[in-house]
Amino acid sequence: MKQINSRLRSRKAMSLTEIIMAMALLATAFIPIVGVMGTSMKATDKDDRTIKAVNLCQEKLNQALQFPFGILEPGPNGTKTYGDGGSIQELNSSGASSKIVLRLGPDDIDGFAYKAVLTVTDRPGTFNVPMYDPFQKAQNPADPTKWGWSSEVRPYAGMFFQYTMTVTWRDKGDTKDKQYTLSSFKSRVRDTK
Amino acid sequence: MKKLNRRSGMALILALVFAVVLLQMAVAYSSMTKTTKVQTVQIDERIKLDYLAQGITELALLKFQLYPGDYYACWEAFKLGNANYLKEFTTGADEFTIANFGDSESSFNNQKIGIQLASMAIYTDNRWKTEALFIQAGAEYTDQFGRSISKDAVRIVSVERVLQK
Repeated sequence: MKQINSRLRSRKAMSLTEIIMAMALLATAFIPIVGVMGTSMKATDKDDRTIKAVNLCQEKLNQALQFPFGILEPGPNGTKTYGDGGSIQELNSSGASSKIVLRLGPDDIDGFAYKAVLTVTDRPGTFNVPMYDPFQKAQNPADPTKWGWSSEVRPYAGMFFQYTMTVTWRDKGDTKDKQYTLSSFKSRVRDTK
Repeated sequence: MKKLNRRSGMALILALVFAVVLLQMAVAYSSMTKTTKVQTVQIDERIKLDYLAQGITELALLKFQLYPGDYYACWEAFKLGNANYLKEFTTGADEFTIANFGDSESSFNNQKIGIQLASMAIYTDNRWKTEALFIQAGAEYTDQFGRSISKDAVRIVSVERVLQK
């Protein structure tokens, strides 16, 4: 009986050691999990700021594209930058049926600082136009090859602008700015339905 | 006594099994986060492509407004079975192809984008006697994994043929 009791006691001691070891193992296993969760939270925070920057960039570019052609002009050098100074630059679409106000430069969304800069660039080029002769067309209406076609090259300048909106921001702890850019084009088209 | 011996070390084994399961979960979670991030970047880039494709439709509309008679002649020739002139005016014209566009780079992606006019056609509704100009353009780039990401933009404009005296 004595022998059995002493054996049982020794088993109990083993169980305690096992439990401590098990706890230590589990705790060790949790370390990378907690680490991954922390990294994931930081990544989510960064993504949130990126999405805000993307939305801001879209919103500002949409506003700029709504301006009638020619109000946001590229200047005599062919390129002009709006909102690049240290303060907010407010642009109004005077003359448009509904007034649009475009604010560029430093902006603040939910405590995060962003800066929106618009660059308007003239993109001159040439149109390749196949031109027909109306008299020859009238004489041979069923045969397009006999319409007196000629390939004409017609230059265009000051009629097609590139709008590039750049939003910059800096993530917490980063030393370098991040940027998101959207570009589109606007041409001197007449009002369309 | 034999039973007690057989159960020795059970807690340790169970803890090891749990630890392995937890580590696997951490690895799976980590890879899921990576995949999500890639998808987020792709969504951002599709916005970029959409703006550029829309921009090319502007240029196509400008050309149509400047040379409507020649466009209609090209369209008529196309209807008569000769597509060469319409192609020369629209999709085959150099001004409607921008290769390696790099002005809309971001901190996440600086891949060059290709922009191209895809179609420019006249749609007619005989019932309402109306005509519309259908313009379609596309933009695409190859992402860092070698996949082609593309986006099309469509613009439909109501048109009216007026004889100018």
